[in-house]
Amino acid sequence: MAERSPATRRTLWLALVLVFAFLYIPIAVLVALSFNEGGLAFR
Amino acid sequence: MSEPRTLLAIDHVSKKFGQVTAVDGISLDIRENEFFALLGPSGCGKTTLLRMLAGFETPNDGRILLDGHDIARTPPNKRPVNLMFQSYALFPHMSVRANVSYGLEMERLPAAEIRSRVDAILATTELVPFADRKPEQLSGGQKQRVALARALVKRPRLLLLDEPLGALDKKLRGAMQLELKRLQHEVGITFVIVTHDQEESLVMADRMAVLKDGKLLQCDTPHAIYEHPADRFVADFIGVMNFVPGKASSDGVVAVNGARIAGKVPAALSPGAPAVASVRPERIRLFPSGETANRTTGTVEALAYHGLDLQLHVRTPLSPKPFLVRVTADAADRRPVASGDQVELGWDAADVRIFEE
Amino acid sequence: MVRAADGKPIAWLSERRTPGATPEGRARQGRGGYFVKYQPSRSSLLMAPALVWLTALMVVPCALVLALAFFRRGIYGGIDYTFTLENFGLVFDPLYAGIFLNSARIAGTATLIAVVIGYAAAYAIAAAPRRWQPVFLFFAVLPFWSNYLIRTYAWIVLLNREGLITQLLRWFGYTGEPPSMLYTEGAVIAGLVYNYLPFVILACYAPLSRLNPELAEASRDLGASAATTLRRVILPLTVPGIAAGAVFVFVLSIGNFVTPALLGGGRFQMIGNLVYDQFLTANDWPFGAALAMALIAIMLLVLMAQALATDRAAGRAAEARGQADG
Repeated sequence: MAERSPATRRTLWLALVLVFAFLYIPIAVLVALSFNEGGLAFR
Repeated sequence: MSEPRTLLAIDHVSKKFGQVTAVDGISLDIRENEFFALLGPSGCGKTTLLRMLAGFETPNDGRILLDGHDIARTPPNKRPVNLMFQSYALFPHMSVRANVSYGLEMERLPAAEIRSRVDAILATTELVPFADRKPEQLSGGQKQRVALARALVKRPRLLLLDEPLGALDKKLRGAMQLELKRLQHEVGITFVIVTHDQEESLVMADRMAVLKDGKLLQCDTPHAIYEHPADRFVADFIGVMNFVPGKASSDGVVAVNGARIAGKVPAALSPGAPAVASVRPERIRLFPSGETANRTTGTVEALAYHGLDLQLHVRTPLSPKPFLVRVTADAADRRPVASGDQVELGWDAADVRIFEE
Repeated sequence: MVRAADGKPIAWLSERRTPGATPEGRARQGRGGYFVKYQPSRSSLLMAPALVWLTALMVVPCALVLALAFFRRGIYGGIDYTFTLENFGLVFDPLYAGIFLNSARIAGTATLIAVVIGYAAAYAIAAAPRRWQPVFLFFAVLPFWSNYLIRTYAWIVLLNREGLITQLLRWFGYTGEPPSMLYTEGAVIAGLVYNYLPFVILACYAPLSRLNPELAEASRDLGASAATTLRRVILPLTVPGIAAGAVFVFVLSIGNFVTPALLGGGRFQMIGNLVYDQFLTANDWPFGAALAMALIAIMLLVLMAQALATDRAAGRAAEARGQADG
């Protein structure tokens, strides 16, 4: 594959990071809350 | 004739991929309107160099001057340079005409001009009957011509060709070599071709560069490189060469069996140093009539008939490998030889090249 | 072996689904299309268990539901076995037709968003170093293997009035009313996109990773910008992946009832809820069956459109791969 410019490479990495954040933040939050005795009424 | 103008100057260009140095400080001048070949075994850096000229790789070091301007960091779509890919890389979802028009559409030229230029190049490359076909409906040779037309229609300052004939069968390749050369004269564009086929570059190139391990070994006309190779590798890589290993003396090489091969010894080679004498198969005469500086006897091990000439493998005491001798069909008719025959070989000191081992 | 009612084998059921995908397939298509001469083979024997399974658990129940749609609703629920077409007439009633349109709009929006995000992600994965690509793919698909309900509940946690997003806003100094995000159409779309995104990534990655990189280079070499290269070369050659991903999201979204029930709040927001309601609450099985049949008809149309798009693109995709191999 051709060499990509640093800007293109940054954009591609950013896209990956955002997508994985979208996929994993809800699950991570749920996992974190499962340790909370108060259930959904956290805080 | 006036001195040809330099179109592209490659100036101490290097390229590393991680720890591997693919191109190591190469400097080359490519002249206006010439057919230039980059030749070398696979992995020698010739394709990397070509990709740097096209803009797909950026050199770590050095400059690439096109008409005096450094284009080393110019993106590929902003260079007046086009590349014909080894795989042709034709757009499979577009017709031949759409493939060829694509580059001109990118220049936002008026539709009428695009049409006339595409028509002209399709005529030149004899593709008019196939204009509405898709690439998958074309033969290898036709695809190759579409790839060529697609690059040429842009009228680049420099056309790069990556192993352009690699995917064609041998007979077609021969025809296309001449065809490419004719086309290059017709369009007046500088061609730089990458190939691992030394015969191909000898036939086509005005000048050629031999590369090995990312370094430039020799850059000259095919004739000069064939007749005066810079070192043992070039001598072996270009054409066929018979080697006699031994030690250098003041006026030749002393072979392992004690025989002396007369020839001009390079100044850098001190007497007694390991050296190798070499001679082209076509320079060796079978049963020489007159006086020759070098002579040996041997046994014919094998004969190969090539139509134009006869190739003999002759076992001699000079080297562990048999000598290859080319005899014209004419000479072979006058004095027939058969496998197992004792023959006498002779060649002149002027035809001997001596290299450091 | 597949046999029709009259006992004759049905050739095209054992035929490949996309004959355009292979050179032999294309040649066959040229001569006789899908309906080629039937040749008995051992492979049709291997298909038998799957066909029995499908017949017993898919075809028969579907036929039963279809039959149900032609009967009248009993006065106290149940079924009155007299023939009628009025259930299908009711499907086109503006009230229910509106719900169909609403479902299509929601499913369409979710599809569009999922395809844009999924294609971008697939492109980024395909552009990553080769040894990392399987790792990225694995982690992109991993959430897909967790429970659908759990994944949907996670969004309730994020979106509810005192949920994580509201708290995050407060933390940044927001003091106003908590935004109402849960029980909106947006929440349903977010839930659908979230649940089906991994499949879109997988579907788009396959053709992107097989694309000969020299095609994009050739486009750049001929003077095209990166954006033009994407629009004129890469996108047209990866249509099969986009179509597969889009159809998957659309078909599963338009019939979905869990996500609109949990994140949408409203009762009849999508057609899936309506069907669910007819069977389990309103006790109007015949009308529920008619709605379900209308839904299946829509899905079949979408699948046919996909098959058409894929077939047209298959030739050029095969060619693009062939060049990569050569």
